[in-house]
Amino acid sequence: MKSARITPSIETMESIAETPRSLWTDAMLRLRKNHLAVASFWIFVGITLFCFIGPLFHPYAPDNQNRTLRATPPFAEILEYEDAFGKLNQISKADFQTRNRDLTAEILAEVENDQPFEYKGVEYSRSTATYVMGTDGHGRDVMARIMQGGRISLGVGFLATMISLFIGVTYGSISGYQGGRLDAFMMRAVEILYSLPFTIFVILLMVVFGRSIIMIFIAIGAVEWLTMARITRNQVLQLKEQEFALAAKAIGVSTPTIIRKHMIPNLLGPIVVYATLSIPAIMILESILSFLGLGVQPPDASWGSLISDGAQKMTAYPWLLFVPASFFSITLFAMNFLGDGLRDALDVKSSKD
Amino acid sequence: MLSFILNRLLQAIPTVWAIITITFFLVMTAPGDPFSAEREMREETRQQLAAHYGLDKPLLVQYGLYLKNLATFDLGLSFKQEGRRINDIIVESFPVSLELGLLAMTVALLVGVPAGILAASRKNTVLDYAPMSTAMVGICMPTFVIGPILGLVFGVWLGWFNVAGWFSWEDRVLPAVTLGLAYAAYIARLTRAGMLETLGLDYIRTAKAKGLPEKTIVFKHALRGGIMPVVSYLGPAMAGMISGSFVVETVFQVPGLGRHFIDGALNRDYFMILGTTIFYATLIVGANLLVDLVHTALDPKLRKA
Repeated sequence: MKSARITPSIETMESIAETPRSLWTDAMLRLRKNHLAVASFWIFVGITLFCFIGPLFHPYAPDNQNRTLRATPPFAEILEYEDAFGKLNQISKADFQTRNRDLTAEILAEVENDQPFEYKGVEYSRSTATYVMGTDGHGRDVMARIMQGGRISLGVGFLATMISLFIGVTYGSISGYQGGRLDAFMMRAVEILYSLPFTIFVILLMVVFGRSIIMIFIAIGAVEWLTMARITRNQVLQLKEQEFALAAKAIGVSTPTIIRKHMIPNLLGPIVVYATLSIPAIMILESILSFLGLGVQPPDASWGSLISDGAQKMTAYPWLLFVPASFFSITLFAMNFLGDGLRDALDVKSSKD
Repeated sequence: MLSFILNRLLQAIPTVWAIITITFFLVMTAPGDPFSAEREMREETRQQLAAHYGLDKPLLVQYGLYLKNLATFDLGLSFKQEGRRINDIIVESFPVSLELGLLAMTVALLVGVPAGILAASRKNTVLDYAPMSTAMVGICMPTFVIGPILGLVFGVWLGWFNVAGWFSWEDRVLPAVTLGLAYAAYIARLTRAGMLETLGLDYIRTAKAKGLPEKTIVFKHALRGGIMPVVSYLGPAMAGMISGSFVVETVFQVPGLGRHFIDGALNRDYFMILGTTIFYATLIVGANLLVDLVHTALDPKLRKA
């Protein structure tokens, strides 16, 4: 609180006294001044809403294959026509022109001017449909696929973080609070797991327990808790020496209660910061798995598997790479800036040690 | 110093053993076997195959046999690449991965360290903000995003390099840059932070007061301390590069060990997964050991401890 003057009036002193700010209000005020972090927060909220609520307003399903509309670039102009079976089909203007080389100048003019016309006994007219992000090689709407992939990518990011928080905080606080040989043993185990690269370990777990979305959550959560456990332990080691912890112990509060009521609430700062920063790390891990074919299996999609698809077809259809890559990178940007902002606001020292 | 090295070596052995054991039982107790993915086979065939690979024995016996073979550096046979020994596969493909990793590390250090030094010595100017915001881009764009985009721009559109393959030196450029960039970004941030901390210390002020030129102060006095965080990061960076190589080798079709590990995982080729994991783990433990030694050599304060 920097509002103290050299001679504070009684009113200001009272107003300071009346509204004691908690650590969190303080942090929020500081965070709000960090425009980059605030913008990141809203971008993140926007992308999340887009992926989870967007499908309610979006006319196309992610698994709907529009066979006449394969690999259409974003914002392509679409024609519609009824085929011999009375089904309404769509075709992009560009495709229509390249497929039918014998178009007369008259028809070409009508195509250009968006007027209905007849060609080989079929009536064509300009469709109002737009595929903002184009369609993929199977004629599926890319925007719907992005929403579907985002639900999985973001979902894995959140849930795996929750799992790793739960395991890591429990493990770390027990180890730190009990200390002694138990602590030495538990931390030795963490060190051994640490020396195995995360990606290899997750891939091992995926091989052993099969490739399903649930397994991705569990495998990633099972690996990512290590850092959280270390952070928690180091904090608890300091906290348990403080007076309030000793006092609680002296009046006979049980160990689980001390950990739950006195240790964990004081850990919230570093935990929140680390969680925000580990969501993007986990999303990258999930995407690497899906990129390598070990994660989400088709027809499901995640941003990683969409990028992988796009990378294979980038020469002909670059938007299939650029659209998911942009969504993924922007989300990672936002999460990283938000995490950095939170760290500064909560004044947490280096979160990865 | 010698006792320190011995001490660390003795600590490394149980770590490697624990990794071998965890990996072995994880993989071997997995539901299904490596032959289940193939088309229906007769029960006798399956049993003969299992006997051939020693999978018919009790698990503990298998574990003992595996350890015994490991002691003679024999990692067993691949299930899927019939008749090939894992050792041969590693010997053939690891040099490729190693070359890729070393090139990438060179790129990372050559880009990251100078950028970090520049940013630290010109704090809060354009020369600080520009490299540091570029570094943030590098951190937020994972290898599997940068790789295809670099391939598309420099391989397909500009036609400077091949998009895939591993034949001439030009084929090394894109994979090494892709793998190196993300680490260059981290290293730049670490160098900047380390340099800023060192530049604020008293002996730097003394050097300045003596009227030494800035170049000498930065490169001779501050760099030695400022580079420390980067040195400790090299161990984790190497582990990261191994997992990064899975992606880069897939994107650019590099015939390295990472590709074999991923194929082994996709095909449930148990001995392949086991062999490569153990190989990687030993490599990483070794690298961490090396980094510790370099650290001790560079920092006199650590030598006595």
